[in-house]
Amino acid sequence: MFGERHPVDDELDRLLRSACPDPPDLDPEEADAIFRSALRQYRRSRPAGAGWRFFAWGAAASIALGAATATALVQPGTGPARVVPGDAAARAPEVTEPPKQLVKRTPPAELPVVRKSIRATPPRRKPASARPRVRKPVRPKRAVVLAQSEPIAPEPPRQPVTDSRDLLLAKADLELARRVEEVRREQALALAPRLLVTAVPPGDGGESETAVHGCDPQYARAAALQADPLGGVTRTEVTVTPDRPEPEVNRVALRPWWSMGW
Amino acid sequence: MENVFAAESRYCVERSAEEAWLEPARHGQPWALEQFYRGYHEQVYALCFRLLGRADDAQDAMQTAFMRAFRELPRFRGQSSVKTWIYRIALNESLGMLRKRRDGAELDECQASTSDTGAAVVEQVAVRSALARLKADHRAVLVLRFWEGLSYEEIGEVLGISLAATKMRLSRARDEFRRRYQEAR
Repeated sequence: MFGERHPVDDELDRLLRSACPDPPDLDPEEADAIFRSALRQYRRSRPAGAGWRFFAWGAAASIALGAATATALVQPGTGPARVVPGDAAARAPEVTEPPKQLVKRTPPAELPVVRKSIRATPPRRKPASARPRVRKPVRPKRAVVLAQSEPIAPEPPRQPVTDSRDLLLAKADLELARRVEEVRREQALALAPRLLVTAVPPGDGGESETAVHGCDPQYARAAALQADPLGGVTRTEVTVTPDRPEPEVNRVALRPWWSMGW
Repeated sequence: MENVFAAESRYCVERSAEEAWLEPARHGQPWALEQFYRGYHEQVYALCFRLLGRADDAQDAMQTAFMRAFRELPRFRGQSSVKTWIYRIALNESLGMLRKRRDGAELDECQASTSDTGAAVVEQVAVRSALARLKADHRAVLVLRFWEGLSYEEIGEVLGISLAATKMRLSRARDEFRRRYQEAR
């Protein structure tokens, strides 16, 4: 019976108590790390806070209120919409005519009004025993005659593309291919490296001095000459694209334009 | 009598401290959650270790248990003590890990203390291997009773069962333990 203690229960309890293992010490830093980790997980899994809930409820309530106000103010079939001054609906164009589907049409007086009786349930069918038996006429069986199939004539050979429709399709294909090529080139240009080159073109007979950052010196020198043939110091942006032999040059003057001379 | 008064006054101090952080912790205040963690992490860690037998697993279970507790704090109604409530979460987490565990090596880190004699060591090993082979809920109730020192009422709160059911489960767990222990000897 439950409740009676077994004679060896005390011994078992003593055994169990004596075998209680002590957990290894938990390092305080480790304990801190566990707390921080638990807190981080909690914050990640926490539902939206009160502020967000308030915001969401407010937005939902304002939408619902706006919809209710709009339906209450615009009454179809009563002429132009009534507009409360100061309401957002005031900015909307005025409705001068009621919508067509809402115009109530009355039937002409001379026509008799035909009332249709509405049955809730279809008329009951008589039970099978009450109905007279009608025998269906037996249809004679048809003799199945297998028609002999005619030999399949070979298809005529296809004509070369002369149709105007085919020509149009071919043109469209070409146009599409050209467009795809253009888009590819634009993408390549967008991804091309823009190198900043500070170039000093040759001055009084001196050799051109070009500081090049990751750019072919030949390109940079050409860019500098093209950018400032008179020998002013300019900063030149050179764009080198893989598929173009020559770089694009965009000159940026370091001096104001009025001091550069003509 | 002095011990009773000391225990009561300690309980009152703990209770008032608990009331100080409980409400802010429900609102997710980090300092209050830290107070909650500092107050119970050692006991929770010990419980998880005694159920799982491995320090790493115990740390994992404790972390998940506290994360869940932080999340569930707003729904904590105070019908039980915070201790039994967090014990319940930790116990469920540990039992979940035990169910997932397949290798059977459960008490490998529960080493006997070096001061024990040979016979005592043999006895402890037999007890722990018998415990390791118990059903999870029987093992849990024995651990809560004999290793955590909880009362029947507290065990009932932790397990979410009535007092009579607690006593019944404890009795059955004892029977199963006795059989396993005799096999292990």
